[in-house]
Amino acid sequence: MFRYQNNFVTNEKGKVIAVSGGLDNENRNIVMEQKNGKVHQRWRIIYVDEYKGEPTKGQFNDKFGLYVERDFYVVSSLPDNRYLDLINNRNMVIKTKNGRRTQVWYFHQQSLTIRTRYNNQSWDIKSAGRTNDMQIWSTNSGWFQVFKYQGNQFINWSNSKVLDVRGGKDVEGNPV
Amino acid sequence: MYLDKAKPDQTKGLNTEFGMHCNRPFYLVSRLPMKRVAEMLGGTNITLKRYVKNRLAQKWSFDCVSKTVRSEQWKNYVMDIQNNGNSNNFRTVSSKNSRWW
Repeated sequence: MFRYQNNFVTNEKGKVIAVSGGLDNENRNIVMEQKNGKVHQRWRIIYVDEYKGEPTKGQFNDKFGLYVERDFYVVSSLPDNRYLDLINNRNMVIKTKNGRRTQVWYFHQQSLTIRTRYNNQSWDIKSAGRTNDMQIWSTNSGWFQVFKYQGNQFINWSNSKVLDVRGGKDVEGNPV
Repeated sequence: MYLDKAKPDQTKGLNTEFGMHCNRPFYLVSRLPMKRVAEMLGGTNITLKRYVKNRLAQKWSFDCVSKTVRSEQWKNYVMDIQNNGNSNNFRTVSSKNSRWW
């Protein structure tokens, strides 16, 4: 028997249900733990008849600061206002506007990633987040693929690092 | 207790002792940033998953009679701690017994 009290689902022995290892990953097991109050032990009960669901195409996702599946460019604030683009259809760089679909992006609600219109792959920090280089890659919604737009910056949801032009150099083809 | 004097079982409304509404389907939503929900997998384990509209395996409801939380997909399955509560594994079982685990 379980009780829902103050954001915890608890039993009479004082254990609570929790996300295993505290990792916010898809398919993560849910387990029983001694209560420690951390966020991975906290839950909301939202009744189905009150659940608003997620934003659909054209609606604004306020948590991510982006409209769902509404195409956009990413324009650098450096003086020449170059556009976020790809070289070798893989690695992210800044380039002058050229009309290619590699410069067109959209927010994909189901995966919570930003995708390219070129081949629908997602923004990705290389090597599963162990480097600083950006690329596009098959969508897996790992933490290294999830970004929000806030205060004119694209911020990784997990480590709070921001999208940055390498060295601040406003040069054609400079990596991001 | 004579049957004609017994209070009827609660079948709707908030059960204040357990903090859940009776027989009203709900999502169990994690407070972690991605707001994933608890989903029953293949009739046993419960895992964290992205919300999918109308996926019954993500819906749960509180049965005020047995005091258990049951799956809306497999309605005879209820939340349970494996090994009579001696494990940390949280899952669902069909052998509802209303014991503390």
